[in-house]
Amino acid sequence: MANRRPMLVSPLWMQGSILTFVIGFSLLAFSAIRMYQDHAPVPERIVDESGKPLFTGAQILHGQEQFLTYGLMQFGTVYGHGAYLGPDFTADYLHREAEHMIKQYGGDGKARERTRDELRGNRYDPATGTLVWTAGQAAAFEEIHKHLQEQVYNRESSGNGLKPAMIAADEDARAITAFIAWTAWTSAARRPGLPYSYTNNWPAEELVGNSLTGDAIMWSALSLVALLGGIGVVLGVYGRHSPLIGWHESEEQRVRFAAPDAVPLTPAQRVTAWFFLVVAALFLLQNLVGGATVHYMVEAGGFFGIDLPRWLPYNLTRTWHLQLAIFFVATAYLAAGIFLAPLISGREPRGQGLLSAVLLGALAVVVFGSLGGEYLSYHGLLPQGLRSFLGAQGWEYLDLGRFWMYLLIIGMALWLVIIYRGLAHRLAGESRGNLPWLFLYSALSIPGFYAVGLLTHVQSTFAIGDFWRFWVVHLWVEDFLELFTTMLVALIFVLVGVVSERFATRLIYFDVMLYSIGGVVGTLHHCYFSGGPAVEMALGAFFSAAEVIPLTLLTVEAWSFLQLGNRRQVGGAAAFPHRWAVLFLASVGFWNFLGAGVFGFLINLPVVSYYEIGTLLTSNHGHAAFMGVYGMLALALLVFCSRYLARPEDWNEGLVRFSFWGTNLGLMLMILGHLFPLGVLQLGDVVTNGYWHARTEWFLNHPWLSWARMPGDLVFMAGSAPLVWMTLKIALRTRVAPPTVDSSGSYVDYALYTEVGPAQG
Amino acid sequence: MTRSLAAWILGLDLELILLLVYLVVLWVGGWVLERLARAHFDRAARLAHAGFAYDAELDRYECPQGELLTLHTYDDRDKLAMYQAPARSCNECVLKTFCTPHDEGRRVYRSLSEFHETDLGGFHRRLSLVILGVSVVFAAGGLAAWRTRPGGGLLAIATGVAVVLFWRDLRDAPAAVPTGS
Repeated sequence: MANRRPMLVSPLWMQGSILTFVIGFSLLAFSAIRMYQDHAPVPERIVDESGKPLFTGAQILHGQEQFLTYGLMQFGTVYGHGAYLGPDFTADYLHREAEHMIKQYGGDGKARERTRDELRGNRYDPATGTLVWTAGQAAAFEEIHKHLQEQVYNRESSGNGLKPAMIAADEDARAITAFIAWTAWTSAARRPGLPYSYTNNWPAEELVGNSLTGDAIMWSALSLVALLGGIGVVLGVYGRHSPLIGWHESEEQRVRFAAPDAVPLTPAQRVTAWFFLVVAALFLLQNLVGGATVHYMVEAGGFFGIDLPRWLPYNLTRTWHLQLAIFFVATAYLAAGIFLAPLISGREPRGQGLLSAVLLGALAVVVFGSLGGEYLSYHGLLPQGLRSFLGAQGWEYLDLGRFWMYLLIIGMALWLVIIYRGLAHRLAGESRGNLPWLFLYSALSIPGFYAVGLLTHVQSTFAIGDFWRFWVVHLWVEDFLELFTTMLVALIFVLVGVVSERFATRLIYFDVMLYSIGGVVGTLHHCYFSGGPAVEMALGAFFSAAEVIPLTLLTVEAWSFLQLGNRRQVGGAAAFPHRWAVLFLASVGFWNFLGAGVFGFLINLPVVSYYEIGTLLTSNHGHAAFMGVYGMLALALLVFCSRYLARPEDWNEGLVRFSFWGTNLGLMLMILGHLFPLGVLQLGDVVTNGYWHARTEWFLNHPWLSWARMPGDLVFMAGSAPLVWMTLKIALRTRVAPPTVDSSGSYVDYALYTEVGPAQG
Repeated sequence: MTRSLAAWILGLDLELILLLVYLVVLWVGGWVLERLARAHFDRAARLAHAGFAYDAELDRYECPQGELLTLHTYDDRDKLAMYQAPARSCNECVLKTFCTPHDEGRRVYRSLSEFHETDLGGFHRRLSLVILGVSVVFAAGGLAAWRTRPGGGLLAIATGVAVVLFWRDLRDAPAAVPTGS
């Protein structure tokens, strides 16, 4: 310990980070306990009024498994979670059920009142595990099952983006309807002793008297108070202490950048050239299947006349679209970690190149194995017992089969070993609170928090499965990847001499504290309406509004950090080799503000989310935030590292420029030309005609606006294509670099920049 | 008069009203984007020499301890002016550790580039061009749909405004758009 370099910043930064981290996760642990105690129950049996069994709890869970593994969560939604082409099965079932019962009971005012009372009434007896359904509910089940058979499970021909005869076994189909019927029951039946349903009265449905709860309004108002107060406090503190914690220096240094072709490359760094080829190829493929996915919105039966759903139905293309998004971003992060480790450490242990190659092979197996598994699962080509293991688990974003998930976690653990070995030399001489250790901790969180997804099973009670799923979707993606993003950006800026290590370290600690306060507990804003207790909504609303505070601050900082490379750029790429990498980072800052900050906050409050969930405004936020922040960062990393991997004659500034403008302007066109306006109109339809309506016939009313997506998509795809060509050339002809070890076996001391003192005018 | 205007507005299609609101959001959004980017550009420039007062008349900075930083070099290619304090004075200063990491005297760099000359200026200008371009397409598309219906006149005006705003941004764009290496 005596030989370690002391902490560059005050230990208070580390202590504060640990304290806020513990507080954040304590609150989340409390919410987990409450979720297990008070989630919507799955009855052991459901019977009619004469006691005749209709179906069992086991059938409901079996139905959930079939629903997921046939990819129906990637076609429509339950509780507003899933894909957007199909209906929300919960809301749709509830509406059809109420209409059927009203008709059955005579169609007059009394029938409406009786229907409302029967659906709101909770006849579940926890002591016996029995739920009693009325005659109307039982009859509605049969009619809706028939409708779902014809329109979803067993279509005679392709349509609605689905292939014909998708679910042949009647037993499975009936179980799926039982699952959907159960979700509808939880959304209308009142919690014992409370005036609202298990789903906090979601969805809005006039026929059963579902409307916003007082809790939703109260917690929305309180969260706004928290937001305004929090922003005031944080910006006040920031305004006073910004010289300490911002992306700026006490004194700017004037530096000379090492020519990229003069920088030595280690064996592991050379392997990353292949990683980046995979990144570019996956990115292009992700765009192409995204194009097919969105095309189903205007032509649900095919693709320009081709019967595409027969082979690549909507649920499959959407699954691939989401999975490839995670894969291409994750691959870029893994590659960047491997590339940066020797730059931080100054050396590379023997065998890192081989380990990196093994990791690349393992990644390829996981990516293509899981995509293939999803194809086989959705097409019903795997036996029942293997479908969720080798095929697809089908939870949106955790779509891949469990076997592939295990492999992915093992792969990420291998990456962690590579990073640790790469940094070990430097770590030995550093305080555990300094930047290299922080890099290792943040790397550790990547496999660690993804592994939490293993707590989600295909037969988990939905509220619990969804709760753990959002640990991955929100906590992993929105918090720990965000932290890793800040870490990588900070490291790159330190490595190229834009900020000092001390400033970068402070900023990372500050980030940890801000995310621990808002982001960690903010995970619960995804769980307002999926059958958890109201306390989830209270915590989620209060803290997710606070999520905007770090985003506001990071935005202020992002705009400032954009200026950092700026002075280095004036004078052209000859002076500053990372012009386009920094511009991609600039776009990360911009999309963080618009996509995560503005569009994220727009849909966060319970009063908004109640109507908005599962509309295109969610997709709008997803595209602007995920592609805008993580996607653009992945491309920034690709460009940054490729600059050193490419032979000078292979580096094509024009291609990178084209990609930069194509992806950014294409994304902006997608958002403003299609997702945002269409999302707002859809939200209006939810408020006017009810959620079920906005998720079904509504699309048909806006064909021209749906086509407005095309220009943005085409520009975006055009922007992604050149990167494949460039990375292919670099992978095949990686630069012949000076060795990192000299003739005496000592490591060559090198840096990406040198300070040059006053410029000569 | 007011009542009949209100009745006329209430009689308009809801979608037309939403479209007009969206157009205004796009125009304001495009303007705010550039203003914010420019404000932060200026803020970052100020932060680069926080606590140092610039005297434009004498072209020099004064540090918090009263020492003067005079023009040392001017880099025409990078459009950077560099000012430096006497090394001995800095090395004896009680604030040195908070001010400069080296012993050559505190330096301050002043960028002489205008915002629109920078890559970031160009980036934000192009984004705002896309925003205004979308507003032109939506206004024109709306005009085509509503031209014979109540409110068509409003869309004609909106289309004109959108085109003018887009053209103004486009006119200034060539100087702002980075040309690559």
